[in-house]
Amino acid sequence: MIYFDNAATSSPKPKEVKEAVAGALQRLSANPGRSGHELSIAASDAVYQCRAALADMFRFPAPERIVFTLNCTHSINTVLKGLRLKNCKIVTSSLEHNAVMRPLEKLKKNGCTIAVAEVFFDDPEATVRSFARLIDDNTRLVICTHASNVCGVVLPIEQIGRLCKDRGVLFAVDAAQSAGVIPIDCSAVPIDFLCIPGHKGLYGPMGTGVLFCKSDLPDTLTEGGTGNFSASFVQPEDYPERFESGTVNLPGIVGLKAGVDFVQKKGVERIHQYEMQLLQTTYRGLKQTRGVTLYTPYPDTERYVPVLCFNVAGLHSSQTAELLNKAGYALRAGLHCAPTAHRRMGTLSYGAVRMSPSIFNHPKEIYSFLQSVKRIAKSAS
Amino acid sequence: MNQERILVSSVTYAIKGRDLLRSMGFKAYIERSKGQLEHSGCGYSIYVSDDVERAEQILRDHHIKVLGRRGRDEG
Repeated sequence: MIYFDNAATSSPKPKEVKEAVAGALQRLSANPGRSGHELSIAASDAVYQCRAALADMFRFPAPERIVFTLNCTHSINTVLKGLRLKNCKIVTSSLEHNAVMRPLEKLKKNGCTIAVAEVFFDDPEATVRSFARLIDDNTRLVICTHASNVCGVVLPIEQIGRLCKDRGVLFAVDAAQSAGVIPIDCSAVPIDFLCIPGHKGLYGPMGTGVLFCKSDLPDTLTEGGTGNFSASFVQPEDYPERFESGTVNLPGIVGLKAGVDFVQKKGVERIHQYEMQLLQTTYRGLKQTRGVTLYTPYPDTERYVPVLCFNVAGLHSSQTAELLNKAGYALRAGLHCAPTAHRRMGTLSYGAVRMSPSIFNHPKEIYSFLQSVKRIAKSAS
Repeated sequence: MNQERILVSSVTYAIKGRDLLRSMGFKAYIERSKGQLEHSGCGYSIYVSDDVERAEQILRDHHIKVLGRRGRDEG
């Protein structure tokens, strides 16, 4: 099976990640942050070293304000529920995943209004202006994706962040498709909350997510044992334990650290260049294939992550993905949990087939994939 | 040799503090705090072999929450 579904989760995982997970289970099988014995301290140390590696990679000044979560959706929910948002306006983009849209929908019950800013694929300045028009005195938060999980377009978060800072509005970023894929510099971009998955562009195991808290969250999603201030029933104030009640996913976190090291060693920009070459070859090939529809302009390296969507005339997106599966290619069809993005592209009723390569794909796989799509399109016409 | 340990509020601060002190030449390691549990619950301490006053000041200067100091024999 040739895997082109890296926007869902990266696969395969690097050898180093698999070895780190197995090693953690063999050598560090103790509860971090709970006991005083050597094994528990060693486990705590391993967890902290992952925070430190993430702080270094994302140029985030305080490792202790890096919270481990289950996934990016969990990070986003921790922010949206932790801010105690009531009777205010929240601005988001027209390309959001349901990880953002569903918690926002729930916040309407608290009297919140949701305003959706249009994203312009080839005009980031116009995108910033659409956010600027919607921010008013009642706006408390802007939350948006860094890169679309459907079409790969990158939002200008640096400018949107500055805009939020100027207007005194909190800014949260869903970096599900960009963390480890394109550089994110928290020291340069004014982001209050950065939500990332561990298992996509960082090549860590599933069940790992991270939340970078530059600003404070007044409320918690979960309360319970943290290993500190145990005599009190009140949830401790200290980050990150305040948001990490219960035993953390030690093997996952150790695997994530190995994933971060893997990406750092290869270089984020080098990986992105390579993956974009694969994607651009795919785009050009699909563009020349009769019966194939693409939904974005040519994906240049500056403004896209390696994700694209297409459809084959005469076939539902699920049929195309099934035929590709039979031919040995793993791609995802449908709405990709992002109906707003599909509405924006005009594919809400039938979805699209998403192709997302990784560092482990080879140009030869792209050429054979294009031949398969060509055969499918020809037989469907 | 100084027998005092620096009490911090969490294992994360303990490791951050230990690494910071080690990077500055201290011999430092972490222990689970003993002593009066009803005040701070189960916390962590950083043991430094030398110049605990300076070590504590370094931790405070780097925004590591210090809860106090406790002698080794006090538990």
